[in-house]
Amino acid sequence: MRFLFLSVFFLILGCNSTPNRDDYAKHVNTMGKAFHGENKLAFSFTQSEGIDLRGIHNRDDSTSSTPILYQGGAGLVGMFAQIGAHAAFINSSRNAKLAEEQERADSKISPLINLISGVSIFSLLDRTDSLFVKNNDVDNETLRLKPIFFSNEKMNQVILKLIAWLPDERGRTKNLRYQNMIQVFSPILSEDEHALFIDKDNDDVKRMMARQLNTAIHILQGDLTGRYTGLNEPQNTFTILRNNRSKVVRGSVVDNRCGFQVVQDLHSWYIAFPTETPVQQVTLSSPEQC
Amino acid sequence: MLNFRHSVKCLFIVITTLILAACGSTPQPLVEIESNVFTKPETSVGYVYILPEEKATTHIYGASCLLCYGVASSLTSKLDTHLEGTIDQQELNNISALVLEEYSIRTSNIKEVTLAVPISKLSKFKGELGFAKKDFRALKDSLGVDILVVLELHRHGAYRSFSSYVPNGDPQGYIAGLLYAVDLNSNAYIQYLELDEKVQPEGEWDEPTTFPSVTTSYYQAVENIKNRIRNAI
Repeated sequence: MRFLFLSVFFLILGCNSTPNRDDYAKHVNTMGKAFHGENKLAFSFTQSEGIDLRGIHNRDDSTSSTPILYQGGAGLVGMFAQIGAHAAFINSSRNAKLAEEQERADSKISPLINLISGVSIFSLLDRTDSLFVKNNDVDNETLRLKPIFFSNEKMNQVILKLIAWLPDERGRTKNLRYQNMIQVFSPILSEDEHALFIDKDNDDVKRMMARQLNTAIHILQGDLTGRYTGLNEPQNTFTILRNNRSKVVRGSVVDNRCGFQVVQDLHSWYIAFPTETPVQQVTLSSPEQC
Repeated sequence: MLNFRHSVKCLFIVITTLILAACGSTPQPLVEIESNVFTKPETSVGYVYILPEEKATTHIYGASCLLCYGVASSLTSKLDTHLEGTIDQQELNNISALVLEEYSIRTSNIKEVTLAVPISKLSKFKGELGFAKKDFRALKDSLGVDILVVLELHRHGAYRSFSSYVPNGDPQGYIAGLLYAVDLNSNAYIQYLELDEKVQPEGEWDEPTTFPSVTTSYYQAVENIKNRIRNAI
């Protein structure tokens, strides 16, 4: 009985994990609280020059509960085979549902995607540009960065997710020495600002994305150099507007910078969101000012 | 002998039909708050808040056989331990405080009351939809109020759906309960709002021992419930 119980347990555990999402990163830090001096930091983007922009989609991948009758006459092995097939079917349905949602969301923001096609991710960098190394110079001490921008259906908000990781000393990604995610939320644009935002001229979009990317890199530097350790601020619930709905962030404030409040959440991710600063000042000012 | 068998068969069919008919009664739909009820300043309102009996845990649905439920419980045991250890009733108390605060905007004549007997022990009330299933009228004199507002939170923690042995979704942040107000003269609902909030965690959920995604989705569920209450009162 115990054997049966454990076998079913492991089978289901193996067959039915959460579908893989590339905009998610579990926090890892095996290097200690401050493992880099600021001058030693080196970054590299993992993607080609283009900007990865996606639609915000529904994350609920739960499928409907389909009643199933297992065939009892097939014996123990047959029983496991049936449960395995059932689990594989559900897993595949969940993946398909997520992919479909992402595709639908992307098609809704296609004007924005077209607007930034051909824009180089490097063109968004300000003074952090000097920290980036060329592809040939990337070594095992270079932090890999993967920025993904998301926009809502109305295209009046952009959210950056920056995933950063450091491979082990041999360059392998199986046992990372560091991994974290920084999210930077833009304010919700007013109708007038939105009209400018999706205008043929992509300057406003670029400016907003640049501001978000450089803020995220600054926060990452802060984490890597131990600036946020030992603050011990109390945990609170913060609400941010995302896709015109309230999103909850549970964590502690670690920084206030250039109109952004930075919170370290339960994942140890850093979430930066606009404070009460007027939208005009946050979105359209030059990134060099901060 | 044949008649006896026939009678037993008929009796069985009648009992089964009655049981099924009782199970399939129409659920009470939403009753939006009647604002004119609170216009008279002499109308006194009592407020009672009922906490869930269980600690925060994972609520399993769809694991329809005994062995399925055993497998489902073992799959969620680490999450149960985390939820029980880290999520207390503070957020639920905050929801309760919000209800009182929102009702206080409608009427200044509101006070918290304590029930001498649990609501489940009140006698039944046979009324149509729009009336409470328990007879609250007896509380009018004992509590000295005209309207009783009840916030009952039944379940909190996480919700996970299964199809027999197999989970068909991630554990979601979860709060379920009821918010209703009863006119103690007529036993009619002045407000009836079912609270059932499930929030999908973002990304990977299975990160023991702290389960940050599921924990965050629980706090998101709390916030969503608060927003629903703000809009409803």
